[in-house]
Amino acid sequence: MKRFVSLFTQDLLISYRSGHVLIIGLLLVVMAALVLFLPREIKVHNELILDTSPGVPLAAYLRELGADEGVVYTDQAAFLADLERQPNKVGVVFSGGLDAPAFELVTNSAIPAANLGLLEASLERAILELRGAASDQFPVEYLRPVSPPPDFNIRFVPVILIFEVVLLGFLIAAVMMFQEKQEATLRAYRVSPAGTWTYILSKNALFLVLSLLYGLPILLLAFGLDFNLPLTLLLIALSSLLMTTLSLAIAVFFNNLSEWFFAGVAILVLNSLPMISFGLPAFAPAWLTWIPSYPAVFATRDVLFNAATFGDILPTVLYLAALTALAFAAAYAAIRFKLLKEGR
Amino acid sequence: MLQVTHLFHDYESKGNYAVQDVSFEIPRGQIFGFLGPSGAGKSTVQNILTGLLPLQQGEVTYAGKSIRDLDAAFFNQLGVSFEHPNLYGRLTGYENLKFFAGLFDVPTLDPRKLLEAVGLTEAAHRKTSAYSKGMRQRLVFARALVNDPKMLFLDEPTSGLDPNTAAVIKELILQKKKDGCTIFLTTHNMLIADELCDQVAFLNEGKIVAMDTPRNLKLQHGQRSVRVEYGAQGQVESRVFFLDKAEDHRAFLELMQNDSLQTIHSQEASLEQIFVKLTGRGLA
Repeated sequence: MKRFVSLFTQDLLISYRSGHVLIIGLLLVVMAALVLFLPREIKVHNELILDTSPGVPLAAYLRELGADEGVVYTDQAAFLADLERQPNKVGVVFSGGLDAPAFELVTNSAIPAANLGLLEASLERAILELRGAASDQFPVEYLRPVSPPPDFNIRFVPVILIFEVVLLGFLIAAVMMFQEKQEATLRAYRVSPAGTWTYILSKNALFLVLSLLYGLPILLLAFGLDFNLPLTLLLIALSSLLMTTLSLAIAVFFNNLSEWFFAGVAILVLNSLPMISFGLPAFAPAWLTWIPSYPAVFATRDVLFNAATFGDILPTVLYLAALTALAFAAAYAAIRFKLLKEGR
Repeated sequence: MLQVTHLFHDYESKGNYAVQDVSFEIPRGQIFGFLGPSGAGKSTVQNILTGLLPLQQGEVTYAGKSIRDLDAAFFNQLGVSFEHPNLYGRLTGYENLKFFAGLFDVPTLDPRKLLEAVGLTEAAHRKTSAYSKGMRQRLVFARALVNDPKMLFLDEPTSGLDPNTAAVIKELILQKKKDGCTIFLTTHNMLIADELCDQVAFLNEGKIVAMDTPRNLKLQHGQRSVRVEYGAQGQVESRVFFLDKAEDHRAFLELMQNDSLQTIHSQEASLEQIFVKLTGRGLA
């Protein structure tokens, strides 16, 4: 234990003096600013709608539903001017009237067929509503208790926690090892009684502490005390341990950051791909779901926003724990038989 | 204390041995000098003995225990001073010693006292990246002593040091010897070896070419001669007498009996001369 405490304190001090803590602090400030200053709600409309029909019933209906002035128009000149200014939006012109509705789309680029179908269905629904002929909505069955959708400013907290933590642990652990290789301090370490486990555990403890120091303030800012702290910390800790250990296992085979760069960045990019799924949950090919950050980020989302219990995230916890155990075995072998044995 | 038997090492496993059939023994409390030029295999042997390189062929035992069974207990009594200073540049001298001491299970020496012993008290709280090479060398030496080792490996411990500081380090080495520490000194500096070592081995191209006490080596390989300065007709004259030659011996005794004798210096061979004689190469 004494060895571990000594090496951990040393690693912490070196990390601080190398500016790692400062970088994490700055990143924390940026992320905290996002949480604090992003709007809680954001309305995005892809369409501008012009109602030229007599009595403008569609415009009145949409305004009643809360549509903004910048979305619904009855003045054609203003509509065209705004469409000109916002070339990525689709203009929808309604004419004819409720009995003989006619729609025309004005756009700068092609619209995917699926989007066109959705647009068509929603316009048709609006007309049916106006005629008083709309059928009931489809019933929806929820698999678990429904929580209100999270505010926009905290919607990306799981991404910040999982991907940033992973990136920091992975990158900085490798940088520290390269620093030790450059200074040849590992030769001195190798003739001390402190062995492989002390080395691995010290680095892991360091990045676990840094991860929590980074993650906790963001969680407290975003949720106050109203979130499942133990489960969230468990997921952050597992992600941090996995990627730090993996980073150590890989960095052993490179001498410096330049040599490591392509392999390291490739792994980081691969690990970041689940961010696409987080933004677009329907995109979840099987291979993507096996990347550890995928279950981690969705489990974190479920814990923070959907009141997931330990039982709900248990498969993810077991999966991450198993991968972490494998990473520890790989790191142990690489450090014991290569890093602490190499060199004349 | 340390016994090395028929040690071989081949870095590439192609039959190009960097170390060939090296055997020696160091009794407890003695200083053993391992001498040879750069590339002779000195560091390879030291690295094997300290566990930095695997033992391929031969046997090494510490207090009767094979190096193949190295454990924490072995490293707890081991001190190693490296030729090239390897320190954490972002830590101060004091921190380098304090954290290194924390890795040992045995009682360790006070880092402040060690820093004082090697003349680094004033620089104790400066980062070692700002140290000169000599200061770094001294700190590495101090670090090797932090666990009060029973077996000390010193690789060129006075390299790059000014004469005064080198004298301090030599004094510390002798003090460790008095304390019962066994010392393996790797160097190409024959004067240091001559001054400190109880026994020396000459290593050339991976093989030991001679091994004995410095005195015996000099007697074995040198000639018994003295250089004498004496006054003659108001001038100072100088002459070398080879004592094994009857004529020189007689002349020397005659000179000793008159008043003109001023200085006498023995002319034994230096270790360096012996090394050159044995290997046909210098030590640089």
